[in-house]
Amino acid sequence: MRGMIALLMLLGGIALAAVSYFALAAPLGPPIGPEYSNPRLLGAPALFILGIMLIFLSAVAYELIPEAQPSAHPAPTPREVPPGATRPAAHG
Amino acid sequence: MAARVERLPYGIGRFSAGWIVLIVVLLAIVAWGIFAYSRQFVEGLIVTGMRDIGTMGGSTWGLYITFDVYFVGVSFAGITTAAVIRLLNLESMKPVARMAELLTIISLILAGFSVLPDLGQPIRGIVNLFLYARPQSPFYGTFTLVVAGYLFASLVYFYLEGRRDAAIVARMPSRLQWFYRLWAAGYRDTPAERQRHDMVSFLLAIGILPLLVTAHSTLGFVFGLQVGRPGWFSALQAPGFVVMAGISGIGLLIAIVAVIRALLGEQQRLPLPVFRWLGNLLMMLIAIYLYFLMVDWLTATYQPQEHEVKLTSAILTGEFAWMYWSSVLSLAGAFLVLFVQFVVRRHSLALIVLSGLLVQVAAVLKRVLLVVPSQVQGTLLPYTPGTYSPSWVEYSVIVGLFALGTLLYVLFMKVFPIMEVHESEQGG
Repeated sequence: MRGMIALLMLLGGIALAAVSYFALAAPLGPPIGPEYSNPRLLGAPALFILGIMLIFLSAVAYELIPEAQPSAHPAPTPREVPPGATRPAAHG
Repeated sequence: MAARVERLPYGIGRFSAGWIVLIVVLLAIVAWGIFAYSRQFVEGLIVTGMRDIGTMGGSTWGLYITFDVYFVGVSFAGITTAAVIRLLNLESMKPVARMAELLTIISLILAGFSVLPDLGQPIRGIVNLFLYARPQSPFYGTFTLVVAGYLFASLVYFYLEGRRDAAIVARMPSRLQWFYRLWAAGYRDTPAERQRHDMVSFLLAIGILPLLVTAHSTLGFVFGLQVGRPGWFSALQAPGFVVMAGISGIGLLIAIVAVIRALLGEQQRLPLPVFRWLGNLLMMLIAIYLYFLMVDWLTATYQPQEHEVKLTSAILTGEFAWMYWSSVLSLAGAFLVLFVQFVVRRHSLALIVLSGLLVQVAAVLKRVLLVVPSQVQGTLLPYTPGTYSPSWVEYSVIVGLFALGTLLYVLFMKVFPIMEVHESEQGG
């Protein structure tokens, strides 16, 4: 779970940084018109920064999110319930 | 039964009269810097020594940009040293790592504060960068990579590296226990946690190193890509920036480590070999930079264009000559001092620190020479040469920034272990 969250943050950060740089900021190429000066989406540089931050935050997530603890006494499967014993009640 | 009194390590939370005086003096200097900046904010950039290039015979970038470049350069050392220590697993250098990381973070904050006064409307400048910055501009790189990426990456690295020590000091009674618990975030130093942390730190170090080379190169491109400005347009700017950044940063780190060693009496944990390692690294970087300097010098004087001739003669023999030769002599002197120690295999702490301080002089002068002469002497239009001399406001702001940096460093030392807590100091 922890690894999955960290990986998602890492990939999400890379994707956000790449998309904001190549697709949302001002187009790359010689500035032959005003459209080459203005970003395609206002605030694209902020999104790029957010992407970079997400990449590094994935390290924090990986270290801070606790490991899923395996249950000490797993509930017996129906096959393991001894004959005649009552099934454990579900707690909500 | 005598109760065991546990004290936080490295003088955390204990303020002697000397420390209090130091903090008060630093606060007073910071207040003076803020006052000076308030004059500039109210009256405008006219209170500085900066003027338009050509029409007003001045320089639009001055002391603020000079020290922005200097502070970003200094920041290089910290995280590089920390990353190299982690990657090469240099056990004896570990006590230096946190000092170096803190140097990076504070330098980057100061770098940000150096740029702001250069802008007539700082708030507008910041907001517009977030909204409109253009990827092809080197400013985009310096803004996003240096300040946001590099600073944030350093903060993450710093935070994660400090969790173990936060967990240790959180076990000792103090008024900041809640803060240490918050920082530790449940860290218990189990083998599994240690293994996970080692892996994350290793990967972070691998990620940070190319980021910082890119970030410093981008800052070099701010100057190096300007084709219409003699003295700036050069392929050597970016690598030169990276190397000079290393020189100024390692030099300052040597001085800081020496001061902390003396203040805390930690001769055991910060022995001479630590300084020898830093000194040798500094020596290699200076050698590379001297080579760059020679290549630059030969290129500029071999068959230069008219405007390059004017600029080069102003730097080599004209009004900027004292600065140029002082910086070269400082670098050469530092190199010689380190090289002789390296050859005879006998090192002196005082001489290594002297080299670290000498390169600071060289670094500041080299940044002035980069920023100013090209603007006042290098215009391609038929203007007469200009002049630039910083006003009291600029000097005060810069001195205030240095005081702010020192204050932040000193306060951190009194709040958190400045070195990795040794097993003998963990208490029971």
